[in-house]
Amino acid sequence: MTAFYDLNVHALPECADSPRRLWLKAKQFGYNGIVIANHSDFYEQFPREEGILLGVEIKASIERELLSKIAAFRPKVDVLLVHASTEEINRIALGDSRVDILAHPEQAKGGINHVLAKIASENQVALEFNLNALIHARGGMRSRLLSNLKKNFELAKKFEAPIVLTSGARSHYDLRAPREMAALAGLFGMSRAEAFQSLSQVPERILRRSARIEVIE
Amino acid sequence: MKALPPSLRKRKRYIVFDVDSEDDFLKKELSNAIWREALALFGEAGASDLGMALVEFNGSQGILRCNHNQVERVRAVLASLRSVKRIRAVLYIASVGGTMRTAIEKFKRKKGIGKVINNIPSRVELKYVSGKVKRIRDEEIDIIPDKNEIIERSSVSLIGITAFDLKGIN
Repeated sequence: MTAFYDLNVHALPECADSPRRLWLKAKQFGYNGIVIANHSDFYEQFPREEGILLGVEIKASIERELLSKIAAFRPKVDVLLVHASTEEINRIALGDSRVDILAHPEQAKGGINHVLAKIASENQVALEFNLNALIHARGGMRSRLLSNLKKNFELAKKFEAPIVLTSGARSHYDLRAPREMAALAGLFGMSRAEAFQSLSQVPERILRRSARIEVIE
Repeated sequence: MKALPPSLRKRKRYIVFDVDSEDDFLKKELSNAIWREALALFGEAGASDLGMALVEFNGSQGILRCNHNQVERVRAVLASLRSVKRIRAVLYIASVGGTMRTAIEKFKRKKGIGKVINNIPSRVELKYVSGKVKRIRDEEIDIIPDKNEIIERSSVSLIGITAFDLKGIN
């Protein structure tokens, strides 16, 4: 059976559920592991347990801050995400192979273009497709979001940048089973096979790179 | 009016789903919420193609009927449902079948009786949060927090922990 991973969920103290509560639901949904990736201001060194891995989503506004945070967090975490913001931050994050994932670029001002997609592909830094906003936004906001996701997906595919699909859950009510994730990803053009791959093989490669896969196996 | 002969009827799929929510709601309320999502996502013309009808709902499990070639779109509708009557909820699809009979079989399959957990205090004080225990189900414990900051960030009304989170501090 395919092993599924959700590489971006938020837990206490940033959000309302404990890592174990999130894992209880995720396990029921058929996941093999979740990564607790609180924003860097809320980072908490959770003990790694069955199914629960440690990550961080770094928030930085200037280059120096970003680089020093990457250096500080990299030895501590299994998965390192950078919160997408300005074009400059996104470019530095995608160019740094210590970074695993650029988180939700579709919501950032800078966004993704052909140059950034190419850098991501060269450094094997994954672009995240975060479904949390898709669940929460409505109306024109969600429409715009979907068109951004569509554009980013086409670019990532064309330049063969790695793609990860995550729930970005802020509570266990935001978690979705892999099939449901694939159905939501279908709204911006992802096929089911592509969605499953970005929930299993691509995350597995990232976890293997940080040598944490044995925790789950 | 005479019912259509079977050969002329539209083929259907029956989706059995589980619900997890912060509070209870009625079948009608869930049905309205699902329809509102379908209309928001696919518009009036698109929603009419789905052929959705909530056949059964008992508070924690339900059966939703739809056209046989629209299951993926209905899945997207159910996945984008975030609340029913402002109560946070999540639907989880347990199975998809071609007849009402198979759906009912899955539907009837009872879940095991939850483990009884003793010594749960009425108030909990954890490292980041303190509050009153509202609900206990198996290992799941929901807490009404003293401060609203965290739940507002998550757009929920309860803090969720497990019984194992308490063991560490006792």
